[in-house]
Parts: sequence; structure tokens; C-alpha cells
Amino acid sequence: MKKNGTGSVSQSILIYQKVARIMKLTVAMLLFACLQVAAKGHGQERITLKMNDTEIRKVLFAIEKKSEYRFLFSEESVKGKPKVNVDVTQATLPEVLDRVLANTGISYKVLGTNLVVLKEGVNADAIISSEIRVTGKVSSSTGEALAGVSVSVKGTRTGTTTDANGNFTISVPDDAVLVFTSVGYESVEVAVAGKSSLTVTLKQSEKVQDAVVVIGYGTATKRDLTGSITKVKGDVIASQPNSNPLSSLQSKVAGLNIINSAIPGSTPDVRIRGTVSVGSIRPVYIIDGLFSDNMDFVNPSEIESVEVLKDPSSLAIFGIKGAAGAILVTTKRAKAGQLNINFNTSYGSKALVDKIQLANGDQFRSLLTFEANNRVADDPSNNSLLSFVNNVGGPGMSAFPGNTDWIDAVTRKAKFSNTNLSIDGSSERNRFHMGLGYSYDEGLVKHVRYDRLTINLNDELRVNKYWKIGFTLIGSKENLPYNSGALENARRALPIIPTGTKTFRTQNPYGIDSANFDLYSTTPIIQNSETNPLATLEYNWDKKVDTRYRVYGSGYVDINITKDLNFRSTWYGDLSFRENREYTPLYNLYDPTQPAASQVFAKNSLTAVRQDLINTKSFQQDYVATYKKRIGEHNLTAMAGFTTTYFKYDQLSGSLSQKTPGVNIIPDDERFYYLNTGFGDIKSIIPTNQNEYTTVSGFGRLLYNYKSKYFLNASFRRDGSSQINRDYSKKFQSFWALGAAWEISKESFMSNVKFINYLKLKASTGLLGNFTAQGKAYPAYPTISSSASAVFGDNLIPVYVPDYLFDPNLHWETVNSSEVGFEADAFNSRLHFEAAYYYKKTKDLIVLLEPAGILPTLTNNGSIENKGMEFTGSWTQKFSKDLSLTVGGNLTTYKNKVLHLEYPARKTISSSEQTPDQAQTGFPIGFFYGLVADGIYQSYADILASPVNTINGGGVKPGDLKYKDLNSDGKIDDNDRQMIGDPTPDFTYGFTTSLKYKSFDLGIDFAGCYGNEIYRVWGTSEQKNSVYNYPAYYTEGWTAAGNSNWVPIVNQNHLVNRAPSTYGIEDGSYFRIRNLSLAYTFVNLPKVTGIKNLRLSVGVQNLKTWKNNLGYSPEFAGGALSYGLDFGGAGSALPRIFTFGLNANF
Amino acid sequence: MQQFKKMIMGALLLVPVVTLTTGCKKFLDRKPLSITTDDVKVGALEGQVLGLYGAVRNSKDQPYCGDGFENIPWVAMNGFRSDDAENVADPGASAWHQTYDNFQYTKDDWGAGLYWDKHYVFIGLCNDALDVAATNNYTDPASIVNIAEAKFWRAYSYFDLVRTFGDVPKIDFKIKNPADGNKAKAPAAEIYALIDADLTYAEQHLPAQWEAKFKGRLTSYAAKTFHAKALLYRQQWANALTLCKEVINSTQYSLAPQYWKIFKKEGELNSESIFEIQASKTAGDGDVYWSRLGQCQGVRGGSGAWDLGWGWNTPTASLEASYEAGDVRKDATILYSNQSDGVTNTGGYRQNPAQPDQRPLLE
Repeated sequence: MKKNGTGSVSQSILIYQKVARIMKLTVAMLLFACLQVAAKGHGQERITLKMNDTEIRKVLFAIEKKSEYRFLFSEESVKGKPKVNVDVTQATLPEVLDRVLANTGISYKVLGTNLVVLKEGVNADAIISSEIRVTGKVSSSTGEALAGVSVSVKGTRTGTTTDANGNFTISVPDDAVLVFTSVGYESVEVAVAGKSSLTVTLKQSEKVQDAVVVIGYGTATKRDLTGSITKVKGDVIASQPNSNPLSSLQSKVAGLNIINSAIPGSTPDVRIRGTVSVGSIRPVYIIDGLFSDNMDFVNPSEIESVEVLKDPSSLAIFGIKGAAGAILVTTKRAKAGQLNINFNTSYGSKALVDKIQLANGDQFRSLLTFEANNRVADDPSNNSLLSFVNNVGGPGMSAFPGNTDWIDAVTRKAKFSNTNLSIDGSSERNRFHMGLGYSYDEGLVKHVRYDRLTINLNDELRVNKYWKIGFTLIGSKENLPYNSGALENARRALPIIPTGTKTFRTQNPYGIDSANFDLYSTTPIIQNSETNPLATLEYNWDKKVDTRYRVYGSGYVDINITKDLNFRSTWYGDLSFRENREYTPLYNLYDPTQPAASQVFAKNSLTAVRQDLINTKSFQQDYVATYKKRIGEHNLTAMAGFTTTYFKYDQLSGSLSQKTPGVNIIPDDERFYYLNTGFGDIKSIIPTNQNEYTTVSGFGRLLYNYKSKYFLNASFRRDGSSQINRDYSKKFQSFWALGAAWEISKESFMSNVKFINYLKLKASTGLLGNFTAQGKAYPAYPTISSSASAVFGDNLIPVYVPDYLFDPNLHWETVNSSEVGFEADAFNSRLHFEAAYYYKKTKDLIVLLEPAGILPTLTNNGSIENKGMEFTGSWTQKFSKDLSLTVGGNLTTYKNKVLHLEYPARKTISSSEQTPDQAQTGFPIGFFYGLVADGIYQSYADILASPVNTINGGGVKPGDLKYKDLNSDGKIDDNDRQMIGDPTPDFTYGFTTSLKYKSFDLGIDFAGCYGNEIYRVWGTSEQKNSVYNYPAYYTEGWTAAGNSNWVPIVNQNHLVNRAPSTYGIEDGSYFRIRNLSLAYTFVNLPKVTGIKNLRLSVGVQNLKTWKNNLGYSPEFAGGALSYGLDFGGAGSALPRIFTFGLNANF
Repeated sequence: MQQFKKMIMGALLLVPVVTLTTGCKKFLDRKPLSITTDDVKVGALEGQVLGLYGAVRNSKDQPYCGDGFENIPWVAMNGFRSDDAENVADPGASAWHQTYDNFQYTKDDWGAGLYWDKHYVFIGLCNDALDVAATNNYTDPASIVNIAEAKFWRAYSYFDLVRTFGDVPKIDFKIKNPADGNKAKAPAAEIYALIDADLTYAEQHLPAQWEAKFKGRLTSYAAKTFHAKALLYRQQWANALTLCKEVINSTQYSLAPQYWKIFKKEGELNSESIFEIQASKTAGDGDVYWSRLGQCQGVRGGSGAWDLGWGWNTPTASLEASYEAGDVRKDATILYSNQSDGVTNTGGYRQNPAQPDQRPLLE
């Protein structure tokens, strides 16, 4: 046993000798300890040394190198002393030192065996200190043992580090002052003062640059990096009432633009530093190392931190997945040395705010009457609407006496709840964490509800000094919400339809007996493309079972091969399984226009079942070697690795339907929401697809700094992917980045600038890849369709036609990305400020070129530019021990321009307001392209006096929109269109104020954006082919000369008013009180409760939004090419949420 | 212990190395898990030509040529604009229809745009096939027939274009570079000359008849009949008459005894079918081999039953009135919303199988 112990110590000596000099004392101590046992006689070592004109410091180092002597001295004391010449052979230490230190005023004393203390200004006898062996433990303020803390003697370079359990041993003079420093913590100085045992607590540093951030395949201190990484702590995410953790990042991070969706559990529209592609613009999500498309399944309460990576220097390591940015999620682990049980729960209530304004029943009737008459005035044969209004040929409008607010009818006050229990246990060898979470999130639309049950398990076992093994498991079960489109239907449904039901005694549609049924009204004939929103919702919401299971697991082996070299292998698996089952029920409606006896009719007369099984499997293996070394003033972290991924998606969908009404009805029972139940007649497979892809990649990174002043980061990745090309050699693409930084505040010339505590300039550039190919799973293998098969009689001759042609040189889109910026702390580090300018140029966009007359070709063509500035700042003010205030904020500017697209995204100029968006060379992506409305034709004279309006067939009449003749050719046509709006904001911003007073915390977050436009589609012409309810502002429509010069005449047939124009443009700028929260923490609770601390909080999200548009909210998500369009969808109906929360630690 | 560690370490390091050296190429070689052009035999010429028969009807997959030949855009151009059709069933839907009825559509409108694009995509498919024949110098009899078929289809597409738009760009070559397709409009006469030439070739080289398994494939009579139609548009009555007489005198065709059956499945490729784009292969094929034409102009139902389509292309009152009393063709031509004609879910067209068709002969 003893022998083993000695063996391992001596091995560490070998390693330690190669380490920086700061370790030398430890080495000496350890060696001393060993040699006490093993041998004697090193005390009178002889020294042979020859050095000319050398600094004293260097002479001392040389002696240390050649002997077992270790010197304890302050560099200040030997600095500036005359250089010395030494030429001794087999001399004793006193012989050498007496010569070297002669006339320097420095005395020395040998303590114990080999420890030599040097002091200036006193003579040797005055050095009265004696050697003391100090042992101790370092922990964080939360009680966690801290490993790897540097322990050094103040003013010298000698010291040691703490072991895995936070323990250290060091032999020092008994009057020494020890300095404890650790990355991410504030340094602490402790006087030994003769004590042989010390307990030290380190406080976490609040300085941004001291934070340890997660980067690809490793971690680093923000200070050592040349890029822009923003870290968001888990509690910022967990404290907000959002079932999708991404939603909580809105306005928190510069450069990260999040457009939220109100559909529970859904993924928001996320763009990092602009829109980089015409295809996928989704950042890569890396969850505890695993590459994923989303982080929807992660329980927000289980997130330790989220890092948002934006710059080339941080992103190149992700190769083809890096171009759109990266969001790295780290889940919670157990902290060392404690047992902790945490319980938290929150409950919230949601309400619809800023409801869109529609006509009520009476307004609708009068507007419809106006429109019907106006249609007939235009064209006497166009009288079907008027027939309805005037009840010609039977009851029409008179049969619908309703005055319904359909939005109110389908919405409700919804609930939100989130409850979590976590247990952390850790011992010397093992760290274990378990988290259980349950949350539900109701939609504003009745019955819409998302449920999630999650379990997080992880464990790390320290096998021995070198080996660690561990695993992570995240399991989730989600019940995905039913989405009826009820809110969309409610906006369209005519307010004259009553919401109520009417009782009829009628046959049960399932064929069993007659009974009394409460039936909903049908929609009027003028709206027969729609159904009664409540009927659809109430009859269908519980006929769908949509469940998703996801299991994510990883295991790793981590080996410290030497002190400097670490090797880690991680294997990941991510399996997701979704089962969706839907049933089409039978139900009746009544038609109030029919005679009483024949009003009931079957809305649905055939039952059906649909079943979908969707599987995704993803596997990944990472092998990463990290070498960390300090050589003098050179600090180096080199990392190299190899990874492969495998992804597979497959879906099987089928339907079962009934053939004949009343025969073989599939019963309405969840037991039978399957394809094979014995009921039903026709089974069919719904065409779906399956695909897989693999990647193989090698990567490396170098983080280097000199004196922690000059920094250099370089990274490289070579990615091979199965998808992009058939040719093996063309499957590979390389990506790289180079970054440099200069911490000016460490320069001596800055020492006079007292108010600046920290200043770093940084710049980086690199090449990133974007993993998108127009949605094609196998871009190099065009899908073929057999739909072009020739049919001769009943004889089918299969003919297969490729759906597109592909470019044999196809490669992934690349982004040339660069940034320059600075980070600064000032005024005693109360102010932190960061600024960066970014520039990104996407090249070789993957597009389907579709020239007239040939099949589209998938090829690389086109480029996009994104640029802007990012600013982040914060100020912390401590007024007293009890009162402190932190104010922080960020602002990002965006400028997007399509540099080249062979063809505009929309080849034909849209005549419809549904598609006002366009992307073409020279304009920002997704810009709105249309006419400029210039008032309304007040009379025929006005029309005659104006340029000829040919828009959408022309034929303008008084009351129609007049457009500007931009090219002054006397004719208003498609050539008079221009850019009328840009969905990309000029800038987005967020700021946060946090006030702490004793145990109270008050926080307010504000969010906003400025300078973007919204295109309002709803209400005007989203659907040309049916009558929808009118927006309330139609009551201000033109009816006679002079009474409106903006809202045109209410008549859908006047297509001239329905072309994309500034009439549909709204200002997208907004300012919002995003979060308001107040919390109180009880700390000194009676022991009997077992509660360490208890925190109660109340909060409100989306308290108030100041906006300039008519929609539910100013947030409209979309894709790369088309967003900022207000279709009046449920996704934009962002609720106000009041929450109450409780968090207890046991 | 150390030995053991080294072994484990070696094993761990070995995994990626092995994958790298032996498995990489194979690991990255992933072929689609569904059919590709590599997995099926695509005939160089005949396959392409047969594809034209399907493409003209295909509204389901790329390149969606069917949208230009039989979907709503086609109905808009060839139905709404005519004097026979008016408002669609849904009064709210009349506005878009009206732009076509009133000739107010612009080149960039959805319908007009698709109509134009898909016709040119189809012409491109024809040109590609002809290019294959020309570059490979195929002169065998079967290839000559294929060339004739491709020329017929090209003429078919150009005829739609020229009668809709007048002057249109003449693309009678394979487009190799996208820029090659940017051609100025050619005068209508030049387009007609191309149509005449293509159809003349087709008349000469298409067979008069096909074996049973190719029933409905293009024949020389189809080319002649279609050519006659193209001549009628230019008032070349005599030439049209000559071609028509050749078809009539072939005695290969006769009028179908029961008019309503023409519009049913059983009426496909009947005795009077000279040229036909089949509406369906067999029942139950869904929309794969199904014509969108029937769907978009089928009568629109009110509340569930007798809902045969989207109700576009509603006949005008004057068309309805133009039928003489008792003309059985009226029942098969005009269906009424919410008024099932009985028999089957898909309409019986007032059939009366017991009685022979009272159809007046047209001669």
C-alpha cells in the first residue's frame, strides 16, 4: 500500500518538473516528503554554474533547475538589481548565494532542508520565519468543493493547486500570505499566521470575462477567447413561464433575434446575426454535446446555462452546422460535496391581450349589405350576395341573427404550470443528479394544451486519479397540443352566426336511437368554405392523441493521460418517437335557412382514423484530445478530435376510412383510434418518406495567449457528409477561423488610466458552412416521380422523371464571417461594456434554378450579406450592504442585402396580398414588394384625371385605391412597384433592471425592435374565394366622395385594392415590458422545516406592448424568405401571463 | 494495472482510427431509401416520350405540368374566358374568376403565370426528347414514332399558347443554359408554322393504330384531327376539311351510342376517342393518375353530399338555355349544385340505362 502511494507520488514528480515554475515549491515539498522516507543527504548539494551578465532572477531559476533547492522570493525585490556573473564549480549554496546577492541588500535563509527564503532590506538574522506545513480545503460560497484552485505565496511564484476534493497541502514560511485564485471566482488572500489548517471560501466572480463558457468540444474562460459568446444562466430561463426554453432568451442576448410563437411548446423563429440563407436559417443546438435541430424537449428548470455562439472564431469548429450560429445547452450536474434537494413550482394564468378588432354582427350586416348592393351596381348579374342579404329564394341573412365575437367564443383564460424536483448527491468519487419535471401549458384557444414530463439523470464516477466515466440521460414525454386553427377560423367566421346550440330531437349520427342533441349552426352559404369554429373545435379537440417520446443519452470516458493531456470519448444516442392518432367523428349541424323539420344535416357522414408513426434516430461519437500547457508566459490549449454522426428519419402513416354512410362506422372511442381494429372499410398508406444521413469530421483548435495579454484562437474542421455529393472526394469541405485579441488594460501604458479595469480588443474571421439543401434529404439523388407514368386504357407504363436536375459540383453553402469588437470594464468594474461589428457574406446559396422550359436545377448560385453592430452593457451599483441595482441592456443592428440571386424568389409578381414578399438581387431578403397607395379615387372625374390604373385587370371605380405612378409613364402597372417594406428590423434591443433589497429581488425586462415593417394580410385579401368577417376598420371604408382617403370601398370584387401595396404595410416597431418579477427569499428558516432557503416570487410576462399594428402582436415568425406577414394566426396571439412561483432548497 | 490501462486506452483510440481508415467511405455512402433514377430503367428516348403522356396530366409532383394543362389555370384560360362559363359556385369566390372572365389578368397573376410556365416546361420536355433523338441520330422505326409523338406534344402545347397569348417565344431546341431560354416573342404565324410542321411530321410517322396495350396512344389520326383544329383557328377550312375527311373515312372511329357515358369512367377511350388525356386509370388510384380537370370543375356541394369538386367553371344561363327541350346532352353537361341526379355518389348524369340514348346525330 505504502509502496503504491510512493510510486504515484514519484510519478507525479516527473510530471510536475515539466510544469511551470509556480509548481516548483510543491514539487520540493512532495519530494521532501518522499525523500524523508526514501533517502537522505540532498541537503549539501553542490552546484556548478556558469552565467554571464545575468539577472539574479534567472540565476535563481538556474539553480532550481540544477538542484533541489527552491527559492521563495518576490520578483519585485530582485528586479532592477545589477546583473551578475556566476562561475562556480561544485560550490555549496551559501557560496553561490553570497556571491550573487552581494551588495543587493537581499538576505537569505534556508528553511528546513531545501526551501530558501530571500528578503530585501533585512539581514538574514531578521528572517525569523520558520517553515510550516499548511493543509486546507477550498470551497465555493455554495459549499461546493473546488478543484484546481491555484494556491500561491503572495508576491512569489511558488504554490500548488487543490485536488479534486478541494484539498491542498503546502509548506510555506509561517508568516506567508496565501493567494487563492480560480477561473470564474474572485481571488482571496489568507494570512497563514502560523495556522496549519485553513478553510477558504471563494466567491463566484461576477465579471463577465471571468465566466467559464462552454465552447464546442470544451470550455474556456471568456477572457481567453477572441470571439463573442454570450452566456445565459439557467435561472434566467427557468424563471420565465415559457414551456419552450428558447422563448425565454428573447431580448437577452445581443445578436439573437427571437420571434415568439404563442402555440404551446412550439419552437420560436430564431435568427442569429441576421438571415444567412434562402434555405434553413436555424442555428445548431448542442445539448450536452449532442448536435440537434431543436431544444424543445429540454426542461427549462434543468438548464445550467445556455451559451449563444455568434462569431466565426467560436463557430468554425462546428463546420457545416456553424453558419447560422450555435446554441449550446448545458444541463445541471451535481456540485461537489453536498446533498441538495430542490423543489420548485410555478403556476400561471394567461390572457389574450390586444385582440384584433373585427366587425360585430350589426356592423357586418350593414357592410355586407353595402357590398352586395355595390356588386350589383357594378354588374347586375353579380347578385348572389344580394340575394343572400335580401333573402331571395328563401331565408338568407335573416336566418342568422347572431351577434357573435368569435374570438371571445373560442378563447379562454389559460393556465400554465411547471413543477420540478431535483436531487443532487455527491461524494468524493461520485456525483449524481436527478431531476423530475412536469409542466403543462395551455393555449389561449379552448382545449389546446401541451404537457411535458421529463426526467434528467446524470452521474459521474471518478474511477481513479486519471479516469472518469459518466452518463447523461434525458427522457421526455410530450403531449402535443391539438391545433384546430380555431383562432384563425374565429377571425373569419361571420359574426351573424350564433355561437349557441339549438336542441333537436334527431337520429344519433352513429345510428343508435334518436335523442336530443344540442347542435351548432352551420355557416351561411356565402361562407361555405368555412365551418362553425366552435363546432370544429368542440367535436374534434379530443379526437386526437399526439404523443412524442424522446430519449437522449450519452456516456463518456474521460482520461487524464498526463497532467496536461486529456482524452475524452463520448457516445450519444437520441431517439425520438412520435405517435399521432386522429379520428374523424360524425356530427350534425343545423342549417337555419331550411324549414324547421329539415334543418339537421350531417356535417360529417363518414368516420375515419389516421395514424402516424414517426421515428428519428440520431447517433454521434466524439473523440477529443485536449492538451493544456503553460510554458513560461505562453499559455496553450490545443484540442483535436474526431466525430461521426448518423441521423435517420422515417415515418409510416396510414388511414382507415368508412365507405358508406351508416355502415361499418368506426366507433368514437380512443380504443379504436388505430388502423387495425376490425372497423372501417378502406385502409390506405399515406405516402411519406424516410431518409438518413451521416457525417464524418475531424477538427482541431488552438487557444493561445502570451502573458494573458495577446490572444490567438485558431480552429479548423473538415466535414464529410453523405448527402451533398455522390462523389466521395466532393463530400468533404473544410472550414476554419482565426481570431486575435489584445488585452490592452494589461499594458503598462494603461496603468495610469485608473477608471478602466479591463479592456480587450478582438477580431476574428473565418469560413462557416450551412447545412441546407432546399429541403432535399438527398440533394445528389433527385427524387423521381412516377406521376408522369403513361396510362393507356388500364395499362400503366411506369415512367420515372427526376423532379429536378442537380449540379455534380454541388457543395454546402459557405459563409465568410468576421467581426471586430472590444470588451471593457470600467469604474471599479461596475460598468461592463461590449461592442462588436459583424459582417457575414453567404456564398454559393443552394437554390433550385428554374429557368422557363427546363426542369429546375439544384445548384450553388447566389449570395447574401448581413452586417451590423452589437452592443451589450451593464452597470452594477451597490448602494449599501442591503441595496444593489444592476441595469443591463443590449442592442443589435441588422442590415441584410441579397447580393445575387439568378431569379427573384417569386418569379411572377404577386397580384395578391398573401404573397407580398420577395427576394431579389440588391434588396433585403423577404422585402415587401408592391405599389404605393396614394389615396382613393373620390369620383369618376378623379379617375379620368389620374394615370390609367391597370392593376389586377384595372377597371377602377370611385372608392378604389389610387396608386402612385412611380415611373411617370402615365400608366399604373407592375412597373410602378417598389420595395415598400423590410421585415428585418433596423435594430432590436432589450434591457433589464434588477434591484435587490435585503431579501427582495425586483426585476424588470424590456424588449423591443425598431424599423421593420409588417405586411397585414388578414382582413384584406387573405382568401379571395369566400366571404370572411370584416375588420372593424372597414366601417371607415369609402362610401361616398370625400369620406375616406385611406380605407377603400368594401367590395372584394374590386381586385385593384387587393394587390400588395403600402395599404397593407404596418410599422413593426414595438416596445414591451417583457417580464416583471418580484421575489422574496427566506434564508433563516427554522431547522425543523429542513428547508435551507425558500423563495417566493410573482411575475408577469408581456405586461404591456406598445405597438403600431392591428394584429394580435407585432411578432410574426416565418422562414428565410418570408416572414413578418400577419395572417392573423394563433401563433402571433402572445398572451399576458401572471405567475406565482415557489422554490425550496432542502 | 498500467498494462490494463494501456489496453483500454488503445482500444478507445482504436475506435475512431478504424472507422476512419476502413469505414469512412462506406459510412458516407448513403443512397436514398426510396426510388431514384439509378434504380429504374429509364429508356433513353421511349421512356422520355412516354413520360410526356404522364407529364401533361401530372399535378401531383414536379414539374407539375398538369397545373398548366388541366388545373384551375387551364380552366381559367379556356373556360372562364369563354362565353359559356361564369361565376363559380361560391359567390365569394367570384372575384378572381372575374379577372379572367373580363380578360383583366396580368402576366404575373398566379393562373396566367402557371399556365405559361408549365406549357414551356412541357415544351422543354419535348425538346429534350427530340434532342436525345437528334444527338444520338436515332433513325430506327420505333424512334421515328417517338420523335413524332414528341413533336405532336410540342405542337399541342404551342397551340394552347398561341391561341391564348398570340405571339410567344419560340423554343424549339434543348435549353442547356438558363440564359438560352430568354428569347423574344415570335410572331403567332411563326408559332403556327412550327405547329404545322410538327403535326405534319406526326401525321406521316405516327401509326394509324396501336396494339391493345397502348390503347389511346397517339396515332396519325390524332395528329390529323388536331392539325385540323389548328387550321380552323386560321380559317383554313379546306385544309381542315381534307384532314377531317381522312379521319372519318378511316372508319376507325364512330360516335358513342350513349352520350353521358363519355363523361364516365366507362366512356374512356370509347369509339369516338381520337385523342384523349385519360381522367383515370382505374378506380381507386387516387389523385396520382387522376385528372385535376374533373376535380376543379366538378359541381360544388353545399352540405356534404353531391360534392363532386370545387365548382369552378359554372355554365352560363345562356349555355343552359341553348339546349333544346329534351336534349339528353344537357343532363350530362350541366350538373346542379345541391341537386343530386341520383344513382351514385359521383352522379349518374340522368342516365337511363333502360333506354337507348336519344342522342341526335350530328352529321
